[in-house]
Amino acid sequence: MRIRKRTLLLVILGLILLLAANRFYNWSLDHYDYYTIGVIPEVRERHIEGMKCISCHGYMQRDGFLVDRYKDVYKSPYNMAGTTDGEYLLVTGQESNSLFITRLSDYLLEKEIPVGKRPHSVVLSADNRTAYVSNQWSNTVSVIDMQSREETGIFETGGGPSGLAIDSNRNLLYVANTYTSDVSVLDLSSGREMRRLRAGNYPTGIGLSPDGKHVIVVSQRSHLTEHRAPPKTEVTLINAGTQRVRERRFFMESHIMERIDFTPEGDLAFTTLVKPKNLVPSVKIEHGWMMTFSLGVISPEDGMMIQLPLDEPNSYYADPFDVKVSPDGKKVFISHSGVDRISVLDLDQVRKVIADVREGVIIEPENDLLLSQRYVIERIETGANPKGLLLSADGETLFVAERLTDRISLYETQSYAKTGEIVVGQGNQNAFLRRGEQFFNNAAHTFQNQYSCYSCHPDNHEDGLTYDMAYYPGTDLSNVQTLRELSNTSPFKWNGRNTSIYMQCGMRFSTFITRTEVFSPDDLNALVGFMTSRIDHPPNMYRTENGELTPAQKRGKELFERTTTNSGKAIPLRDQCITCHPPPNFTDRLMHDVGTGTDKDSHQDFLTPHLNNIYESAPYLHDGRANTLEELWTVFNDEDEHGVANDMTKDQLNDLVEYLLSIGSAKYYQ
Amino acid sequence: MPLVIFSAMAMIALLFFFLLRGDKALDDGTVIVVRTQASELVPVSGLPDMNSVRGMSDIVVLNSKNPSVSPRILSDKLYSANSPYLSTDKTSVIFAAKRTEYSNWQIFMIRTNGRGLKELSGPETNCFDPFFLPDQRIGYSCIWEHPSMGSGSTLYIQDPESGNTKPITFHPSADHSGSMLLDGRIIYTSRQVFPSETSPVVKAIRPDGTANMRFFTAAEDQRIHGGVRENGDGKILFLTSEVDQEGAKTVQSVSYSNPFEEPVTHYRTENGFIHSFHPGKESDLLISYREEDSETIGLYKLNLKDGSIDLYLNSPGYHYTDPVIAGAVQSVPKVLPSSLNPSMNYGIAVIVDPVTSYLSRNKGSNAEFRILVRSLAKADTLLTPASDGSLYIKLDTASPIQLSKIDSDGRITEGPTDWFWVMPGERSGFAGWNPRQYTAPANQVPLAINEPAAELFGTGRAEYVNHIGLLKTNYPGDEN
Repeated sequence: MRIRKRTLLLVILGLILLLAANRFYNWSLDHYDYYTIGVIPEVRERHIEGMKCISCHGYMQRDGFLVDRYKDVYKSPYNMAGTTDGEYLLVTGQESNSLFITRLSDYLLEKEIPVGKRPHSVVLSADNRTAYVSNQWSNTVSVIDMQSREETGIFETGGGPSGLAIDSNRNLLYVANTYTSDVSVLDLSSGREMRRLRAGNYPTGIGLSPDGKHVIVVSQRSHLTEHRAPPKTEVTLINAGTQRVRERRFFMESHIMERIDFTPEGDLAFTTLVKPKNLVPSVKIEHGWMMTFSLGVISPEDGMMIQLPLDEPNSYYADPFDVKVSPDGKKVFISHSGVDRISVLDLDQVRKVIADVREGVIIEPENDLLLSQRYVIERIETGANPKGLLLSADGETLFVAERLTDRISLYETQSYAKTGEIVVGQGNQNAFLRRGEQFFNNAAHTFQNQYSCYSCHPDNHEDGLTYDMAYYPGTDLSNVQTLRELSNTSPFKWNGRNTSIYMQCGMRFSTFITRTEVFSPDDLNALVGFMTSRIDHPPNMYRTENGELTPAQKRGKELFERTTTNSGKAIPLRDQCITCHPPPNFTDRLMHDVGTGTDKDSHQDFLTPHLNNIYESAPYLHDGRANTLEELWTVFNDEDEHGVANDMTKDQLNDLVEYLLSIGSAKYYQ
Repeated sequence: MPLVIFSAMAMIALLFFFLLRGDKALDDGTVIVVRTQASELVPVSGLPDMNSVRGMSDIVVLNSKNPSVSPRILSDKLYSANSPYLSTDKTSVIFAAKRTEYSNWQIFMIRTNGRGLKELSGPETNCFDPFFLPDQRIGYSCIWEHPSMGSGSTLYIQDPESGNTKPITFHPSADHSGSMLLDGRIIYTSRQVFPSETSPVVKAIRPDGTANMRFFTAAEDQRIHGGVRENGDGKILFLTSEVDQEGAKTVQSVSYSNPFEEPVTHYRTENGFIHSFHPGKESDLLISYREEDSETIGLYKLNLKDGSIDLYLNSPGYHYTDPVIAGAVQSVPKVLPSSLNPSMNYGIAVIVDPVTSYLSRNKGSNAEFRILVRSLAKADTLLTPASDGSLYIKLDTASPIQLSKIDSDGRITEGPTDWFWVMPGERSGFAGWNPRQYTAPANQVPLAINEPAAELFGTGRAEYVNHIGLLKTNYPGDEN
């Protein structure tokens, strides 16, 4: 039979295509296996089901049309203030960079006023004529004229202004500057900063006592402590009369205080606390073994500091954010942004428990999981990620800013029934990336809702703590790393074992961290999409506005990139800083032994961390031993294994540190 | 001719369709129940009494529209059956049954359409109280006997497809009445039998046998009958009576979030008794209840909010017990991952003294004490904790121990703890020595971990006889 040439050609072409397809199929299996199963034999069984090509090549790309189509515009209401006549509600839109003014008689959104970047808090003057908005990423406070509904002025502040307290009698505005860890005291008549006061580490909440005597500042991060010492987070008491710090107190074994409020009598102030168990080997999760949450009670006059648990034995109330005391002094409302709940506490019962603690009837209440039943009287279910709270002047209505549903919900404070809602944003709250952000901030994916991703990564960053998570207690300690701008920085973990975020948040994560059901493929895709495309670094306050390096930073950069020592000796390529830390992310994404391992580590080589915004990631090294960047070379680099630095003068070291502090987002180094 | 061919093909297609289609799930609200002839004895107590003749009882599916109409019998090929449990997809039922009057109780599974009866446990010993896990594995209890420890029961997990069966409890106790919590753990009733008998407590355990712990305890003067069940409303429901009363008298609940709050009593009977129950939708409960003047146990709907009961089914000829309602709890229990490492034959535990926060340390208040370790095989051992009272131990898998805190005079000041054990590669721990304590650990480095773990090997396992064939060679970790 004659075979026609065309037929023969088709057959040959078909065979070639079949061969190519088979090769491609085998390659794609290996490619898929590497990023899901990894190269470590013992994790080969724990692969991620449901990953597709688009998972890595679409969802994990920071920019690109695939991700862009899932991005939407959200408002993310954060904190609130209300006019004293009860007519208007003011809400900061964290993502929309705006302030909303809503008329409460008919819930009409009257005006959306553009302000600075990442507005955090809003306060009103006593006459309701002026509102002040802290813009955390602009280092300013916007002045809003309530009559014209326009921004009429800007005050300069320290880095990262967040909490605000207005002293109307003295015409002063106190601003908690989170990133510079201080408080600006502004004269409202001139807008001038008249004083800067040192506060705790990352102050966020600030409040003036009803009698005008005290200003109390609460902070998010613990002071830097000795290695393996418990966290201690500062509460700063300021004499409002003299505008000077009068006392610094601490909540021990706690951190992430966000807001503060006072009883009407002013005898007590309340804040919320996250109580990590980072020093306890993470052998289990039950019975609050990883994280618990508490109400911090501060007595301004007599020094008392008490922590009262908010959790129950089998239910945890993750990420408490705001606290508000009812005007009649009978109830305390707390928003739990990790579990979409408001806790309602009976203040009389709280006082009884405080009395029992003072009298020694209750010893060390902070870890007693049965105690909250004495004072928690209700848990109100809310929308996603409740943050700021506001009570109406008559105390009958509670306003809740539901950040991840773009909505303010109203609840009746006696019956706890929902009575209304104000929608501030029209974006699709069920969109792919929005869902990913909701998962990140919700504790439902951990056993008994014990913690969310946010609990260890507040504001998508890190909590400054080192955790004991390896199999053998006390070994392979792990310093929490930031989750900002993760795209193109794989692999992950200090031991470099997780080749992708899918692996990081996959089966091993559910087995050893969350201890509950693994994420479904859709949920995991949404979470990873959010983590890689939606988390930005805040502005680096060490960078100048135009990005030019200061003289000290320039000198530091030269040292960072130097190839010879001070005496002219050549520095081997492997020992030059820039070899392992090249821009834009300042990591080569490889494992290196730089002499920083200890006898408690099962391996001596570690994944090179990226250095973007390193200024806000203390402590340093894989186990958090170095409290400052300087200590990396003055304490932990005897043999010049972690860069050649022992020949540097003190001034040179200072310059190097100045440069490192100025390293900002990767986008500046593309 | 073409018509004949076409018809034949259509019939073949229909045949394949019926063969290959999945089983139809039971409609929500359908009730499965144990029906026993009224003349037969039915144990009053909810505790398993394997020596009594329980029936002849059948597992039946009641007609949803008219429960008094003749029901569909699922277990007609068996001598007697009870304790039905429905799968989460509502297509299969597992139950305990006897093949003949003299055979042991065994675990069987059948599809809800009445087909595919399968025996899942072996005949060597009595097995009962089966339940489904959300991943279609099953759990159940089997009796063990020991010459010096007495008798009790162990929880097992089985994959019905492969038949792979493993025990998950290893203490000398009677563990029974297991069911699933929505958080993915198994909740069960447990009574220590050795070295002394104690009152039943309710425990929770992960399906891989790790994290076994006390969930809650009945009041001192009360006794829990049978098992506990979680409804879809965050309540843990159970039946109780006073210690000296025969038969359960009250339906009570505690909240899942805080089971140590005062229980809420939803219903109390003075002269009748409540045999069993199943949570319904929202605030309902279906209870098997015999009124004082009734000859038979009937089914009643109990409203948890107001305590009112309405008759659902009562018939002079039959007792109706162990009800199950399809689709009553809409949420499906979570599938928890297993943290076992089969290549290891030991696990570790870190125990902290709860009074070790910064306050205590600053006061220097930790008095000297030691830890007494009781095990099944070795003589009692004394361990010295670290100066902060913490302990770090490494122990054989499946080898239960009890710990007590003793003072310098050798007196027990706290404990003993419940028996606890570790699974292969398990990391365990707790704060405090009092099993009734519910304390989170203080955030301090337990000083004990600065030294190598104290090794507690050779502490022994219960060499149970009349086991279901899983003797020591099948203990977890023994493969290595």
